[in-house]
Order: sequence, then structure tokens, then C-alpha cells
Amino acid sequence: MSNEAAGSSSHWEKSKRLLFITLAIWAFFSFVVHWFGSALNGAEGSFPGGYFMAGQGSQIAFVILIFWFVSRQNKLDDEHGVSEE
Amino acid sequence: MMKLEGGFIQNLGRVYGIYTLGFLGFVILMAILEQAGVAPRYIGYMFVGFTILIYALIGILSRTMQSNEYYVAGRQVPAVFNGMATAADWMSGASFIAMAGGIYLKGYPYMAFLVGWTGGYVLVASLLAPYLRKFGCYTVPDFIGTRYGGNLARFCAVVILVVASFTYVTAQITGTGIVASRALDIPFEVGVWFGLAGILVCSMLGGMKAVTWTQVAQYIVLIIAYLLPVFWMSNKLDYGLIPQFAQFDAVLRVQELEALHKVGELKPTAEAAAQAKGLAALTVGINDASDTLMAKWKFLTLVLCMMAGTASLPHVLMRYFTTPSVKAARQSVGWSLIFIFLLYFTAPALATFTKLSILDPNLATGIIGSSIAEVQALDWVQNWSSVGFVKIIDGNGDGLLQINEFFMKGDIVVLATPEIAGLPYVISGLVAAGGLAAAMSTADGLLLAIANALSHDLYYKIIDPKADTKTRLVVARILLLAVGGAAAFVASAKLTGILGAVAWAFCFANSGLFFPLVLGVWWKRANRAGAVAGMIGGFAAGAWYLYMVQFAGMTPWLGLDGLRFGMIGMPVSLVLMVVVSLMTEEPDEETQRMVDAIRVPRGETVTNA
Repeated sequence: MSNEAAGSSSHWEKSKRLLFITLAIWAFFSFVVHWFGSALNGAEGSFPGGYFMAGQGSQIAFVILIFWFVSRQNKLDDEHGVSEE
Repeated sequence: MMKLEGGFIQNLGRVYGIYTLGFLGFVILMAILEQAGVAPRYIGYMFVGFTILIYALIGILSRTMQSNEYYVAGRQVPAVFNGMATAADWMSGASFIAMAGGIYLKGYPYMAFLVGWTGGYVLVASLLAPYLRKFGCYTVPDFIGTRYGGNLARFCAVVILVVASFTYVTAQITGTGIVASRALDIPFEVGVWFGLAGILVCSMLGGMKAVTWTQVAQYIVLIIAYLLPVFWMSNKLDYGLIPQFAQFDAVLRVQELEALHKVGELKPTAEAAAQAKGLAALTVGINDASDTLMAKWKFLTLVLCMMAGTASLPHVLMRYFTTPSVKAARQSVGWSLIFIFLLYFTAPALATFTKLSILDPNLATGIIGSSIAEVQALDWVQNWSSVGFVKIIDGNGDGLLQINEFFMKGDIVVLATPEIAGLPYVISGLVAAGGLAAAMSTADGLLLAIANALSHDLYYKIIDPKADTKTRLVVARILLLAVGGAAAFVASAKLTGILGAVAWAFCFANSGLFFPLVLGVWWKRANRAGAVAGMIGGFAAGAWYLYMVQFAGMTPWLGLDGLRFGMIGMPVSLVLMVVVSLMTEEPDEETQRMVDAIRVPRGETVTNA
């Protein structure tokens, strides 16, 4: 029992770290990128980068981020023996 | 029945595969009938009638008298299918009908909704869904009530849920009313009640189980209905094979045309604007990402409010209670976002190509700069003028159509695009069926969230804990009927525009529920007093601010208007919850153990409601 508790607490510490990394990437694509929306649009006639990021880019990043997070969390659960049978 | 059920779950792929082929066959049949000379209005009737019939059939086949099936679909919905159901649950009439129009009329700043409504799922996946699934609750207030203990916390959560979801559901029923009235040629007020009937057939008998399987069916209809016209238009008008990727050149072309037509420079005359009440002329550029601090602030605050709202809206969270495992709940969030993404990354493309169609004088569809008499003779202009969605007012009296003389409702970007681009009517019928599916599926999820919270949390947990399963499920259905009726009544009285209300729902939810939910999982020290203070304080502060800005004429602080009142509610909720929790006793050992248990996937669920 005590063993399992120790295992769980290190599991939770690692889960927290994974959460912070995930939220940092999330914040980057949610806020930082769009702060520079007008700069990303560039000069007249160049690729509309700000429009792309708001209309598609961030969404693509979120999809990839969730699947990355899920696979990391699943791996973490397996390693600590706390995943479902 | 159990055996049949197992068989159904095992064969989901095949069942919905056949369904999809059947639906495509139906679309082709309609196309053939149209070519054979059947009048468009009958095609429209058949699209609406056939799809509603299918949903009703699924609803009836999924009837149940078991509470586990009624509340959480028996917890056996596989991750991918739950993803589809969530996508339909999520994408409302606003997403389907109004979003592309919003991007069309309001340009870059409006795309904050796209970012917010997708990024919120990162929060759902990482902060909440797997933990709430492990908790094993039936409803969102069930989590609050059990984690913090006591009827007051549960009751607060129920109130916030009802206010947020009810605000949202009236908008959805309005959406069903608009589509039904247009497709069936009936008055809007009748269309609303017609829509409600369709919605209730899907949820009354089978609760969450029935709603799940109809939502999967509705997702398939709505995504085909959204994508097919855009692909068709893009290829027909030679914009590119895959519109989502071809749109960037089109954006640059639109910017050239905006200069030509003086978009932004020409404003409607005051007189014309008054005449075209409720409609708008295009006055902003397609990609004017402003560099001012205020514009950036408004973009980012809207993103944040929509994201936190996504992670606190109960009708979304409760979808993840239906998966077979914690792992599946987590994966299911990813699938949800993929299915949502398919529509959301298409919306800007649709807006851009519609704009190009209308602005480009080299295209047959270009109307800006043409003679007004010619434009008014166009079929689609006549059709949509007659229902008040389009209005042409020659402000300067020169007989030519300038950009500031063409007034429209944003909704026509989706609803009328097939006609503008000259696609056959069958596509318009398909779009109507898609819009109806989007609004119905969201309304179903919302009505169920409200009625379940009232029946499970208010009636069963607070008022009559001894009620047997049968009574509970009868009460649940009566409440569903009552809530639906109330929502349809408000909608038929036309109390609000679609999107204003939708953004409000997100802010109500995040003001009251976001921190109590998240800290309930992530902060063991959070206790009942803190949660209650956070819910009441945040919700009250947000609601007060909305009232002051929207109705009492207060100047918004820092540009935070009625769409962003979560920016007031959330900080109040967070500060109150933390301060009050720290000032009062820490939660008892049993609660701490409960939190430990939800943090690992292995083991039994915490509650067994």
C-alpha cells in the first residue's frame, strides 16, 4: 500500500509537469502567436501568416498537442502501473 | 436487449458506414429528382423530413428505463464515436450557420472565436475530462456536490448550469426555427415548435444513450452538408482542389478587390443603415489584424473567455462521462477536436470564397459594381430579399451597386452560398438539413444537461433521495419537456440574436464553474466554503457586469464588452475561492482520498450514483 502511494505521488508529480508543458504550448498558440498577428501578416502581397494562424494554424497545433499529451499521459500511467487493466 | 446492445456496439463502424452511404445515396436521389423536374420546395421538404425521421427512429430504438443508460449511455461509447457525438453536441447552429458569416462581415477579429472554440479542448483533455470520468458522476453538479460536499455547493452548480445552458439552448432552438421555417415555408414561430418536437423525439425516450447515437448520425449529415458545397464551389469556380489550402491566394486577391471597391472607406449612409436594420454592409477588410494594443487585447480576451467556457460547459463535459474508460475519455477529446476542426478550418475558406464570388467583377457571380437593376433580377437576391436576409439600398442614387449599398445577414454566407455560386438546389436542401442537424444536436445535449441536473441533482440528491429509478426517470422526462417548452417559448418571442447569447453562455459558465471544477481536481486544499464563494462570487460579478454593460449603459472597462464578461467573473471566482479556502478548514481525509483516487486511472470510480 505504501509502495503504491509512493508510486502514485511520483506519478502525480510527473503528471503535473506534463500538464505545465502542455499548458505552455497551449498558451503559445492561444495567445503569443496572435499577439503578433499583424506582424505575421507581413508586407502587402506576402503570405497572410496572421490570418493563417488564426484561421487554421492554431487549430492544427491544438489537435497535435492533444494527441501528444494523451500519448505521454498514457505512457506515464503505464510506467507507474496506474493505468486501467 | 443487452445482447443486441453488445452487438450494436461491436458493429458501430458498419452501422454508421451503411448509414453514411445511405445518406449519400439519398442526396444523389434528390439530385436526380431535381433534374427530373421536381420543384425545389419539395426537395427541401424531403431533406428535412427524411433526416428528422432517421433521428427519430434512432431515438425510439434507443429507448431505455435504466438510469445508467439514461444518464451516461451505459458508459460504453467508444472514443472515436464519442468524438463525433461531441462534435455534433458542440457545433451549434451558430457554428454551422453564423460562423462563416461572422468571419465574412467582421474579418480577422472574429477569428478569435475559432481559436477559442478549438483551444478550449486542450483544457478539457488536460485539466478535466479524464478526472471527471474517473470520478464516475452522472452530471457536472454531481462532481461539485460530491467533491465539496453539501447541498449548497450542488445547488449553486445547478443554478449556474441552468443559466448558462438555457441561454445557449434558446439560441439553438432559434436556429432550428430559422432553418425549419425557411426549408418548409412555415412561419418562424411555428418552425420553433416544430424544431422542438424533433429535438425531444431524440432525447425523451432514451436520454443520453439516444442522444449519443443521434448525435453521431447528425454529425455525419452536418459535416457532409458543410464540406460538400465548399469543395464544389472551390472546384467549380476554379479556386483550387482543396479549398482550405487554396484560400490564401484568394485572401490576397480579395485584398486587391477591397482596394478597388473601397471596402472600409465607404460606409453606409445613416439613412440606409436605419432602413436595413438588423442587416450589415461589409465595412472591414478580410485580414485587418490591427496592431493596436486594444485590438490585441480584445482578440486575446475573447479567446480566453471562449476557451475557459468550453472547459466549463456541462453539456460538453458530460459527453466524456459516457466512455468505457479514463483512457478512452482522454483520447476521445482528441477525436472530438479533429471532427470539430474539419468544420472550423473550412469556415474561413467558405467566407473568403463567398467574398471573392461577390466582389470579383471578372466572375459571373460578382455583383459589386454592377447595375442595381441587374443585381435585383438575380434569383438568389430575390429569394433572400423576400425573407429579409438581403437588402439593396442605392444610397448615392447612381444606379450602381457599391459595397456600402449591399446589406445582408451573416447567415446567408452558409445558407445562400450554393445559390450564389450557381450550384443546383439539391445542395441548398443539403445545407438546410445540415444546419438543422447542427442546431438540433446541440439543443439535445443542452436540454439533457439541464433536465439531468434538475432531475438527478435537484430532485434525487436534494429533494427526494429515496426516489426509485422509475420515478427518477419519469421526473427526468417531465423536466426535459418543461425545459424544452420554456426554451422554445423564449425563442419564439425572438428575445436575442444567435451569437450574442452563445458568447454569454460561455461567460456564465466560466465565471461560475471553471475554477471550482479545475481546482476540485488539481488543488486538494480547495474546500466547500471556497467553492461556494467562488461559484456565487464569480457568477454574480460576471452577471452584474453583463447587466451594467449591456443594459444599464455603463462604459465597458478596458474594452471588455458583453461578450467578454468572463474576464470579470473568472478572476473574482479564482480569488474568492483561494482566499476563502485558505481561511477555512482544509477538507477532511475522506475528501482528500477521493481526490487521490481520481488522479489515477486504475481502480473503481469514486461515486456510483
